[in-house]
Amino acid sequence: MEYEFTTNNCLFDLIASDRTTVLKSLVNCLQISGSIPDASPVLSAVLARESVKGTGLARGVACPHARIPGITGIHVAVARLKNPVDFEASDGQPSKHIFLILTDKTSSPSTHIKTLSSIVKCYQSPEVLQKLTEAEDPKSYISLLQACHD
Amino acid sequence: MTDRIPIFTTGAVVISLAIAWAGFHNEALAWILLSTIGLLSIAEHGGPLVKIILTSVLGVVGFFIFVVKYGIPSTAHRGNIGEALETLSHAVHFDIFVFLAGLYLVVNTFAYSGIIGDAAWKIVRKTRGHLSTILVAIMILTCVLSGIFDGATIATIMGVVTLTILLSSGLPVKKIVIVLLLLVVATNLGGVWFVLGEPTNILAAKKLSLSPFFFTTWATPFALPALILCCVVAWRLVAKAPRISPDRPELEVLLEGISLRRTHGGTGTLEQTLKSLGEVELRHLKEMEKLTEDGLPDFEAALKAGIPREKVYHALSINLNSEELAQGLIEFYLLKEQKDPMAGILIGDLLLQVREEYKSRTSSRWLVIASGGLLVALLMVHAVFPDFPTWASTVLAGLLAIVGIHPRARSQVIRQSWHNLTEAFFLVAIFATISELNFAGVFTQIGNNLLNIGSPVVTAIGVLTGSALLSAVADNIAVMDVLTNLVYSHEHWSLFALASVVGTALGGMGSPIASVQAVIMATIIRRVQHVSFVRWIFITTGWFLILLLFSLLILWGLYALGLHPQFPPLPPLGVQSSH
Repeated sequence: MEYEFTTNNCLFDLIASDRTTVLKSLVNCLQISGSIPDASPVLSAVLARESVKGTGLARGVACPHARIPGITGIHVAVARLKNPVDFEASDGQPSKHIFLILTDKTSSPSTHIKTLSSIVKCYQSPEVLQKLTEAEDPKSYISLLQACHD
Repeated sequence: MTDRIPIFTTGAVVISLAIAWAGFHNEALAWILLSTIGLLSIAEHGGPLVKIILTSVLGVVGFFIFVVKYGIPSTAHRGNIGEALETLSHAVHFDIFVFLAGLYLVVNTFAYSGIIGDAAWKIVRKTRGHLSTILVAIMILTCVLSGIFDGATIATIMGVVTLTILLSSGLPVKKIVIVLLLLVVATNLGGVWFVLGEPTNILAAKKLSLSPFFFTTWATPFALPALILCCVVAWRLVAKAPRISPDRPELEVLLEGISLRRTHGGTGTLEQTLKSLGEVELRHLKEMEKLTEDGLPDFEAALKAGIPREKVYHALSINLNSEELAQGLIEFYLLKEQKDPMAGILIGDLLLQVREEYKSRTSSRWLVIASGGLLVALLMVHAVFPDFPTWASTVLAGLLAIVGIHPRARSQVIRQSWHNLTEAFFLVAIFATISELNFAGVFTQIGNNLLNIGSPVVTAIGVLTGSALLSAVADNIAVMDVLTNLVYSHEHWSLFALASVVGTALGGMGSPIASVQAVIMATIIRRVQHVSFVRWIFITTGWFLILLLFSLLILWGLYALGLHPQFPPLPPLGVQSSH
């Protein structure tokens, strides 16, 4: 696994009313944890991608993302929202579990999509999602995500 | 079929020369005209070189027959070879080709910069994807704008925007072609509404001293019901089509594929590329063609038809000139087949990539938009000062447009415009032969026969029908020129003038060479399907006859009610008055 879920990059039961607020909070979280030097260009790239087509998947999971020039490795920040927010998911449901994923600009869209798919593969399991929704603190939330990828 | 073209051409040439040798020169020209139409229909799938050689051979033979019998018109009068060449250039309408060259530069720059795609997508969003509403709005807008601005420009802009929208709707290709042909009807109908709408109107107004209000007042009873009919047909055509979801950017990406394919050097359709790569089974290609005609994007149709994935990938990479896009589209197809929601994420990424590419193609988006503004402004200058040539409008606007495009993308726009122009250029032989028939006095003879049919209303019906049929195969300016000369001194000239105006406008939809709008739409339609000359006539015959019958009934009704124009006789030539 070229990335890891950490409590430093996790916003647990975040209260946000719209998509932009969620994305700002996640990008700031990555900056504070030292994963990215500057939040502004990253936020612009993520919002630009979101403006083209929402990144909501299904079953309350969304994966906003961007390919950032000069970034090394894969950076992930996760949020569980207190109140789900619309990310234009294919099933029409608002999203509760948000995975912000940043990768290098040089990766091709099809390679990039495989990376995204592996990171958010928990959305394929309703049982795991149920457990994530019921997690009581950030630590258990992150442990569940790690377990899902092991 | 194209490998037999040299044999057919030789046969047509030998027969026409034999007819001419026997002394039947007009019949020989008529034969060469028919052979030209037939051969060009067969050559639809051929390359630009085949078409240019074919059109040149047939044009030269027709000209030879004409010169043997009649001499070159201007040399016969003035004996100047330069003027003879000028006559030839008028016959072939070289100014139309210069006009089209400039126009293609502007339109391709617009398409290449993504502006037309954006405009189309905005229309879809504004109308919430209701295709029937979109089409009715487009029909009305096309009709009204064609009355105010030059019909050719409106046909180009509305044609490209409509095609973009229709492709995104997933409508079967057959229906797309019909809608685009309806647009030709709308531009021609709109043209009769105002003096500036059609060059034939300007000619008629100038020669018969008609006021601009003549067209608005007298042509409305013909144009309005016909427009309503067009709207109803367009509405019914797409009534059962699903709404275009404004959240279907995946189709926009596919459209980009088409746009890129066109601009990256005439590599043709995916099907053609697959054929050229070889080793693809014919039954798979046929299945692919059927699926594409049913509205499935071509790469999906190829994969569904069982063509191996690596071959589709290879062909897509060539067509799109982008390995990333080709790989992404195939990955999208696989995810979509598995009903994986990641398909939606991937297509969003591809769309973002395409948009970024769009931005990088222009050095100044404002300059590109300004070229469109300049084009409209100069065409309006032409409308007020007819001596200012229309070709100058498009050439100047085209030059500004290519300044606005990024230098590294410029050659692709120019190459695409050249490709479009060769598609239009193959009509030269038809233009030349028809003009020869006109010079030989064939049209004048037909016109004279029409004016001697009988009572005014029967004659007017004959004029309307004759001008519509002649305009469908001949240059409508030439037809109007002949008719205005003939009706000038007639007692019921104003009724016949109205019949001529309506007839030439109706005829403008009858064939791919009937009007400039038709020529332009034929080249736009070729982007999705090859519509041969014969097939065009076959598709449009039904509407043409319905609209013609409709117009004849209105003309008869107006005459019976005494509501037709009844202007006093015109003064002898040289004395001006206005009606």
